[in-house]
Amino acid sequence: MAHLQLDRVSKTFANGFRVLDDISIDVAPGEFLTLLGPSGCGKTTLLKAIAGFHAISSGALRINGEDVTRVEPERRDTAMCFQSYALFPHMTVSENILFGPRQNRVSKADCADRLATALRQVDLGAHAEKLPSALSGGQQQRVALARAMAMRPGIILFDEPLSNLDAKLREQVRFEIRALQAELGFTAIYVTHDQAEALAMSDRIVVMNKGRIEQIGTPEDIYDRPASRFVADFIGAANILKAEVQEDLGSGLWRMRTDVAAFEIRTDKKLSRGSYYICWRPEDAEVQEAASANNSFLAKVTAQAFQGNLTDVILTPTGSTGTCRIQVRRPLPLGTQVAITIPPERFSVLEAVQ
Amino acid sequence: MRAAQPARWRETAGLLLLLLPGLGLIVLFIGTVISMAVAQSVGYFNFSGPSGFTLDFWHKQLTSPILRTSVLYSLKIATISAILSVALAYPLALWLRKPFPGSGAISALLKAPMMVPGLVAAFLLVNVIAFHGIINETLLGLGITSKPLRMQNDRFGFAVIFLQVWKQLPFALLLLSAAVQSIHDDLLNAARDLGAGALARFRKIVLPLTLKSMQAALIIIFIGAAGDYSFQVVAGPTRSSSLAQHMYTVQREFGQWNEAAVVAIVLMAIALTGSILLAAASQLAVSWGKK
Ligand SMILES: Nc1ncnc2c1ncn2[C@@H]1O[C@H](COP(=O)(O)OP(=O)(O)OP(=O)(O)O)[C@@H](O)[C@H]1O
Ligand SMILES: [Mg+2]
Repeated sequence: MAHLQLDRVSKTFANGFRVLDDISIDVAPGEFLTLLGPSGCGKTTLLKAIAGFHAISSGALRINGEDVTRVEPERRDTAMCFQSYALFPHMTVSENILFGPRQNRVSKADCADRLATALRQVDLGAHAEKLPSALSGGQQQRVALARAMAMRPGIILFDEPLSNLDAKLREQVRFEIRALQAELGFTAIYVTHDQAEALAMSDRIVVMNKGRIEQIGTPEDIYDRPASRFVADFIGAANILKAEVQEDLGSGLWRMRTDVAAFEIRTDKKLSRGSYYICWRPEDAEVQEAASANNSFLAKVTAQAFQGNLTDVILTPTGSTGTCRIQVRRPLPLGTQVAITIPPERFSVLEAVQ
Repeated sequence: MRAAQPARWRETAGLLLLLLPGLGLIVLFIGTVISMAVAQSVGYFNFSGPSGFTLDFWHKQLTSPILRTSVLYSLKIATISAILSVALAYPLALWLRKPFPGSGAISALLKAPMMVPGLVAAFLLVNVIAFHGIINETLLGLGITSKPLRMQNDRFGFAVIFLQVWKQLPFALLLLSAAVQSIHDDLLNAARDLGAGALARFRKIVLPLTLKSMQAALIIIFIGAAGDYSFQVVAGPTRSSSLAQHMYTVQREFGQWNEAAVVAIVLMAIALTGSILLAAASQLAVSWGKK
């Protein structure tokens, strides 16, 4: 178990591109932390900075309290599972997996033990003596994963380790990663593009955008209380509206006006006069036949997509040019008018409108 | 199954037919030269006497101590030159793997010796190290030595090895640079991440992945150096001769075309077996180093 601290880490590439901008994260020992963000936002670069392949331009990295900012990668207690796999092409699957343990002079018996465990975890027992070129993409990815885990380091850096696996295998390997973490207690920094995976596996999620941290929080925090339009939009679907503060109703309740309707909104934030972006999730809408008094508006069904377990419905609120998304169990007849109610506590207040 | 076989046979035959103009010419040229040499070495094409089969020329040369010393000398020069060139080219190739300000100029400068004809380089070197050359004049002028040092035509052949390495290093660098650059950064990073220091990365990743290019460099440099004539004549030791020099002497000074043919065949055999041995040895060393 290792305690990882990133203290105001920034990195500028030689061409002047600022890829990491003032990143501070405190990762608890044994925590499973996921980095989520659009392609090119600096996730891989951040992992490589933690591993030591990229020197950072400013800030500090600490592992278990010790400053490792200038420590060589080979002396850092980290192992990385590369997005590009980076398997040694001239070594068999077993040799790849045992490279780390052998390099660290792990005893023969322990090596054999780790190899057997790793091969079982990623289900590659039948391919142990093959060269990487004789494996499928998904199999190569699993070797990369096994190789990092066989190191048994304090911190494992996973760069989209399951992106090439089918749904079933992904779930199985995901389970193996969590099981191994429970057993060995390593700290995991995990990069994925799969929101469901991030929400399901993580203790905390870091949402990144253009080299900066947008929000750090538990999966529930991130999903239920997004801090910005970027986060709300990036994770799950969100209906985002501009809302003007009208009245403080006391005990965290605010009356706000949007061009769809006036809403009562509950928030922990202390709002000042002016406008804010607010959002609500499609599944938070309550659908009724007729408009009720509070927090509701009328809308017409304009499109929908049946998903099996639920139906995505696109609505056009009456008197508005925009659209919004809701989720219901069964399809609604196209063109009908429905009344939508959103309870005050289902709203999130995002950043102020500039 | 049965029906497919004639078709495949026809395909192979067609392919051979297509290759014939190119391949045939090469085989013809090499074959003619080698069989000429072989024929001459056993007494045919005799320009200074009756032609006919005889093993006399082989006997004369194989018992000659000059041939033996020439073989050993050429083997020594070729092996040392090949290994030294490759050994020096590796660190340079690794250093220049990632571009940095000025790396293009350095790499061009390192390749410059390829453009300089060997004989010119040999004369330049001799000018520098000769009895009344630049070094000796400087040392005398500064009063560091009281009489000129004898460096030219040194007995071991250091000057020849120096020239060979100077001339062939760029070539080894060219081959190894391409091989080293084709190793992805992530691969070396992965090895580092798994605890491999610089030496372990070199032994376990770089060497095995560049083995083919390294062997190519070793072989080509070895063959070139084994057949060297010009460096040897200008800068080599006066007491021992290289195989090529010996061959020329036999033909030129003794008018012995047939014996020269024997030396030629020995030279070819040495070049071939030596380079195969060198390649095999490097393969062994690399797979041993991987452990
Ligand atoms: N050596 C480099 N020099 C300059 N820019 C670089 C370098 N390496 C990466 N970048 C840039 O840095 C940015 C972040 O790259 P990075 O690989 O960290 O993205 P990522 O978040 O991992 O994306 P993805 O999800 O697609 O893997 C990209 O815009 C990339 O083009
Ligand atoms: Mg990436």
